[in-house]
Amino acid sequence: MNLRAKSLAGTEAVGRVVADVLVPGDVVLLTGDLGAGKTAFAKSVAAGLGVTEPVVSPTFTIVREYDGRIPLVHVDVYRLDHPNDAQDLALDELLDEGRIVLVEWGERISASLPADRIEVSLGAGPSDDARDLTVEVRGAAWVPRRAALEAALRAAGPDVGELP
Amino acid sequence: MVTSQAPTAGRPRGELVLGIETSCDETAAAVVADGREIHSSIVSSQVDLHARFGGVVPEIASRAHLELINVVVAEALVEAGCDFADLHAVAACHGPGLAGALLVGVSAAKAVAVCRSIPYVGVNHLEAHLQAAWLDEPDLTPPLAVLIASGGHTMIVIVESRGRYRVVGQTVDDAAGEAFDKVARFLGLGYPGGPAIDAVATSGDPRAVRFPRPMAGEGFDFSFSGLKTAVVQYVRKHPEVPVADIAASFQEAVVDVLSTKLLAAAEAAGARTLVLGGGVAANRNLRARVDALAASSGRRAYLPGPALCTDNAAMIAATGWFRLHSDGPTPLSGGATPGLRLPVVG
Repeated sequence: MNLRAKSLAGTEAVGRVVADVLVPGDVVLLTGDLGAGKTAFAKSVAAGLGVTEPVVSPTFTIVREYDGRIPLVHVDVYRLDHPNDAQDLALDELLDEGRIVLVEWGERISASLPADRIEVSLGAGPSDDARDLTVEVRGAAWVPRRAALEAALRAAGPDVGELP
Repeated sequence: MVTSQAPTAGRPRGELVLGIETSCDETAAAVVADGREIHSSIVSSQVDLHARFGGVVPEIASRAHLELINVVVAEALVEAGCDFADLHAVAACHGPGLAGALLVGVSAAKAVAVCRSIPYVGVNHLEAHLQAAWLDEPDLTPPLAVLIASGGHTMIVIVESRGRYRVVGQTVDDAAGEAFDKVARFLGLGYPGGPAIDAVATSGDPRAVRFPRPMAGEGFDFSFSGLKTAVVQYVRKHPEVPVADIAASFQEAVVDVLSTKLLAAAEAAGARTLVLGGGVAANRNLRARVDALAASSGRRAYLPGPALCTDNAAMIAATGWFRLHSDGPTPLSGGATPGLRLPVVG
């Protein structure tokens, strides 16, 4: 599903909608170039999950964990260049059924991640604050949940529109 | 490459503490007497290894720490002119940092403690950056306003006394050093980004582009993610602007925000001394600006040399000595805590 967020508020609205449909055990891949808005999106997902402490960049620490309505694990694999590094991260231990795992630059280790997941990619929009987003679901587990997610995204508010 | 700081001449006296630092990309060991006299400070830089990756890769970091730790510790003892038998205690950084990397230093320190039957002290990396100030300047009088800015941290701490800290501001997204690294990588300037931008910026015009000053005038917190985005968007729209001008203008924005907030925090806390710590404190522009702000506001600026600002083990040894005397040894069952926070008052 292709969306256009007209403003930062729109990007944040998409993040909150995604957070609302997540259940423990879900995995979210976040992709997009430097400056695409991955940090802003991750913050809005965390806010939607009820995380109250500040969500800061996990680039240096690779992994940061937060308590929310559902615990959130925020991973940034920006500094990993080889798929094997994902094993070194002990990714299996992070992918716990009770938590939600959000992976920035996740495309680099997509082969190591579960087949069931949401993939959100962010790209530049027609203005500095606008973003074009693609939200896709993968894996059998998401088939029955897909319609509800897309309906919620269509109702994300005035700052979010659907693109063909 | 193993580099060292000039040791104090003569046979070491006093309570010798071996400090070990492996929280990020440096394997470091040092011998410090009585928490203030540096007898050796060895830093084995892994930057060459990481340059290919544009950042610190955790598994490479822990593997390299493992290969280097014994060499670096032996070198620290030789240069200090002492042996394991002369040590009063051993300290290691136990957080915050990369889990695998921290464990190498903590395990080495515990092994020394067990073999020699001496106390082990786990040291907080952030507290060590704060206490590094006393290594060069034993007469430093609190309260101090300290800016710690590095690849992983950006915070302003009011040091009320040695051991009593208040965090008054910190980054809400990226650390300052991370912004330097990411912008440098985007501009094709290499890693580490701080020195790369510092170097190229000298031939650029810091007023060429007026980049935003995020959260200026809004308390003491920082935000660098939006500034990084502003640089990326500007370069895409204006590919003709020289890289040196972009680098200089970006650096100007970071230095402006860091130095202005440090002074404002000092004013609010009644601190007469400004102190810098962390890798970004090696930035020449930031040092000059903090010096100037201190002078024009009737304050003192204390800017430790790059060897004490960047990650080093002398600060771990000094803090280990201080904490041993204030809190006693750390149990050997204590592990490493990647997300460890600075112990604060109030």
